[in-house]
This record gives sequence, C-alpha cells and structure tokens, in this order.
Amino acid sequence: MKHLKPVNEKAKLIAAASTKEEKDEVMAMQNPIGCTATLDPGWEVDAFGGVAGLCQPMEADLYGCSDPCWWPAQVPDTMVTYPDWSKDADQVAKDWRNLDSVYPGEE
Amino acid sequence: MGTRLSILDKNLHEVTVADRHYIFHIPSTGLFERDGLTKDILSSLRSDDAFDDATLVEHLTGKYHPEDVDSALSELKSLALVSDGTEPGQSIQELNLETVPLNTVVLNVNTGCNLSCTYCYKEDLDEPANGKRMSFKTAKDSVEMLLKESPDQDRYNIVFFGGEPLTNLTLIKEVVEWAESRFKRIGKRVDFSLTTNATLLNEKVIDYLHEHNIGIAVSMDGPESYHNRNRITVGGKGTYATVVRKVRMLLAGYSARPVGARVTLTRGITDVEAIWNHLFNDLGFHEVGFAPVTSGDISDFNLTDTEVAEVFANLKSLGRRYLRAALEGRSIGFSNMHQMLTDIHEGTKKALPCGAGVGMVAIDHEGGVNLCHRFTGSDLPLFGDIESGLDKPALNKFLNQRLAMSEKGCDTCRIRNLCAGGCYHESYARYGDPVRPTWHYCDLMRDWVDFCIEVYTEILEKNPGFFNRFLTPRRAMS
Repeated sequence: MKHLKPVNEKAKLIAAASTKEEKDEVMAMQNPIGCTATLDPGWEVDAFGGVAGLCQPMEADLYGCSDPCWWPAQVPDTMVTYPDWSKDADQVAKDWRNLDSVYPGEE
Repeated sequence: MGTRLSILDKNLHEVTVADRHYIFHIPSTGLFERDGLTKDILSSLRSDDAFDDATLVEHLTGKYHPEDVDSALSELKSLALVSDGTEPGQSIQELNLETVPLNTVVLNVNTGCNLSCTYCYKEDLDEPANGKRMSFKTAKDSVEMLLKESPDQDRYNIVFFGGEPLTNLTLIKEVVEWAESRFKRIGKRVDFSLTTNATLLNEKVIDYLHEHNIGIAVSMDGPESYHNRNRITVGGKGTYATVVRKVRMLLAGYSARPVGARVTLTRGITDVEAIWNHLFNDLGFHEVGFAPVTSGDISDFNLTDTEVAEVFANLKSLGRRYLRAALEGRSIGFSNMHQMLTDIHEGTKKALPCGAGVGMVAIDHEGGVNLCHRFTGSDLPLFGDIESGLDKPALNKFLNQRLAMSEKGCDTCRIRNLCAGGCYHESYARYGDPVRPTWHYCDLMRDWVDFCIEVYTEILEKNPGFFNRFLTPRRAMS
C-alpha cells in the first residue's frame, strides 16, 4: 500500500494481502479469546498461567514468560538475570535451537 | 454522476501524534500512517460537496497526479473506509459451539476467607469457620469434565480460587498430586496457579508452591495506608505488616515463576503511581496490575465518577512513565498498559471480551459450572454441572447475546474490537445484566485506548526494538 503505510503487525498483514478476498481473510482471521481489555478484570486467574483462554497458553507465549509480561514459566528471565538468553532467537518458531539452558550460580 | 462516495465513519478512526497522522482501521485493528493525499481525499469527502470517483479525481488533479488519486482511493475502498455503495456491511456470524475449547478450570476450593476485605466481590464469601470447602471428589470430577468436554488441548490449567485458596491447602495438594499423574498418563501438560492474599504463606508452603511450579498472584493494594483501608482481617485489623513480611519471604524463596501484584482501586484510592512505585520498586513484584472497582455490590466502595476519571488520568500518568522507560529499552511492569500495547501492536481483534465460557469455566464448591470465578455463588443460572457436563445451548445463547452488538451502541464504537463490551461481571454487578456493555466508562476506555495508540506510535518511531524485545515475535507461536 502506497498511501496508507502499515504501522502495526495487523496492518502489515493486510498490506501484504494483495487481493480483496485475502484482505477480508486477514481481517476475519483472528478472534483470540484473550483477556478483556476493560482493565483486565479477569486478572485474578489469567495472570499466572491460570487461564490460557484469558491470555495465551505458555508455549504460545514463550517470551511473554521471560520478558516482563506477567506470564509464569520456567524460562530464564531476560529482564535482569539473563538479558542475552534469547538474543539469537527473535523468531522463536525458527530460531528455537539457539535457546540454550542456563546455569544459575555460574555467572 | 456515478455513485456518491462516502466515508464509512464506523470503520475509521483518525489519530494525530505530534505531526504524524494515523488511521486506526477499526474492523481489523490495523494501524496505518496516512499520506497527505489520503488526508485531502477524506476532507473532500467530509465537505458539503458530493463526489463520485471521476469528480473526486478531477477535484484533486491540480495538486496530485490522477493515477495517484485513483490508487489512494482504491486503498481506502479496499479497507472499507470509503464506500461507493458496493461495500457489503460487516456481519458477525452467530456462534454455535458444539464443542467448547476449554483448557482451564477454576476450582473454588473454599468459600471461606481469613480476611474480610471490605470491597470483595465474591458473592459466596464466608467467614473462615463457615467456609464451604470443595471435596476432592468434586475437584477431580471437575477436571475430568474439563478433559471430557475438551479432550484435544495440549495443555490444561487448573486454578485454585476462593475465598482464600490457601485455607484449603490440603485439597490443593491432593489435586496437584492426582492431576500430575493423571495428565502425565495421557501425555498432556498441566499447569497450576492461584491468587492469594499472602497471609497464610510460610516457608513450607512457599517451598511447596515452588516445587510444584504453582503460579502465584498476590492481592495487595499498595502502601500501608491504602492497603489497610480495605484489606483487613475478619476482626477488622489491617493486614499490611503481615502481607509485606510474607511477600518478602515469597519473593526471596520462590522463583518458579514471576510474581505479580493485583491492586484493587476503591473509593478514595486513585494514586496509581505511588502504589505502583511501592509494589514494583520497594517490594520487587515483577509486575503490577490495577482493577478499578466501579460496580461492586456495595456502592459505597465504588469509585465515584470523578474518581474513575482520576484513576484513568493517573493510569495515563504511569503510562507516560512506561513510555519513558520503553524509550530507554526497559519495561516497568505496568501490566494494564503492557497488555493494551500488545493488543495494539498485534492488532488483536476480539468478538468476545474474554475467555469466560469458552476457554475457561469456574466450578463452585458444589460442582456447578459458572461462567468464571467471579460468578460462583451469584444468581446467574449455572451452565451445567460436573456430572451432566456443560450446558452448551445455554452457553451459546449467552455468548450470542453479547455478540449481538447492534442494539447496544457497540457496533459503531471505535474500540469495539479491543473491548468487546467489557467484563461480564462488572456489567452484571452494575446493571444486573452480564451481556450489557460496561457503559459507565466507555468514554474513558476510548480515551485510554487512544492514549495507548499514541504511546505505541511514539515507541515505534523512537525505539522500535522495544517491541521486538518485549512483545513480538515473542508470542508469535500461537
């Protein structure tokens, strides 16, 4: 798209869809069953792995666990302790082999 | 003249940040930056003059090349932002769930709580001595129902809720032990979590929670003066001193998962930044989430309309701090904001506000199926029970009532696909009707979303790496 420059991820998908049918598909494709936007009143359960329906299941959300999102998991935290843990794996689906184990206490 | 062109306002929301102009494409949650030509097309169509394709091109030809006008116009048409009358209206399909993609069950392990927080929304709350405890059989049958109704999930979540769930640690331990082997046998993964007031934690309990990787959220309202206003014992004593001691013990001894704080904002308490500062910086919670009470049972505790506006103003102020940190490549654990920015970045589109009744249900101590943990003990009819399973016709009927936006004012709202009407329980508490939108703060929500879009575009412009590091493609595996 020339006159409307896509900014967020969804807009990029729409711009990349070349035909009208494909555009409709992009628009319709996603209705995640996420947490309510109204200030997350569902937090009591979804904050900690409780409600994959309210947020995302952990495996869909690996970096949500290690980054400062609230999701819980046994993955290294990249906030403080292992900032470089995932530096070679920005595309998890593709680069997951670059994710290594960490050894607390050695650093 | 050909068909008159018109702007489809229900799909278009224009946002200006500094000198940049964006179009928020409402049907898709796509965000585009528009050029000057697009602006001129839109303002021509907003004027009193009528245009069709040919006359519009002619009108703008002095300033632009006709081919450019054509292509800009067809971009607007392809997104249904401008109509020449041929664009069909959007329709939401009726939902008819034959199977429900459940992956989470919330167990109300005890209606009793050792605290007596003034604002608690739980309708089935009891004093500790009168707490109705869930039996192990009921808990087991609840999980079996989950597996029967939704056998194809790869992983499942079991959430312990109350009352105060740690008042029934015996049951929690029984369920964890049983479920670990039950799920192992079928080759599926199971996760556990709970929300606690922290008062019953001790080193032994913390070790146990750590060992079994049980996720923990702590309900805590901030510095002493705020916390003690509402979070009190049954005898009426403030619990801050105990909670702080336990939280420090927890954060030192438990590292299975990040621990977050959940803050309830009630009348007189709107100082979001001070609360965040205490919980994040002084105590070291991983993140802090705020839930303003606008529609509790006891109206004396609800934030007044002025206070709700104040809360949103203060959320924005903390949001600006989030922005400053994001520009330096840090995140300040402000989860309401982080969640909204994630939705905006990915262009999340929601037809239903949350996963209640679809991805999760809550089981009360007697085995009744509730929409979510907030509804246990309420007058809202049950959606089945653990013996007969989910009442899918009732569930479908309920969800379709919320999906039908047109009579509720949602179908023209610019945040309809991010909000989808808001929390069922808030509407239920406020209006007695869970499918009514949370109208009482629609304007503030729209303003909050606009603010988040502004912050989003500024981060994207000045430090785009922030999103790569903190948001995507980090959750792109779904």
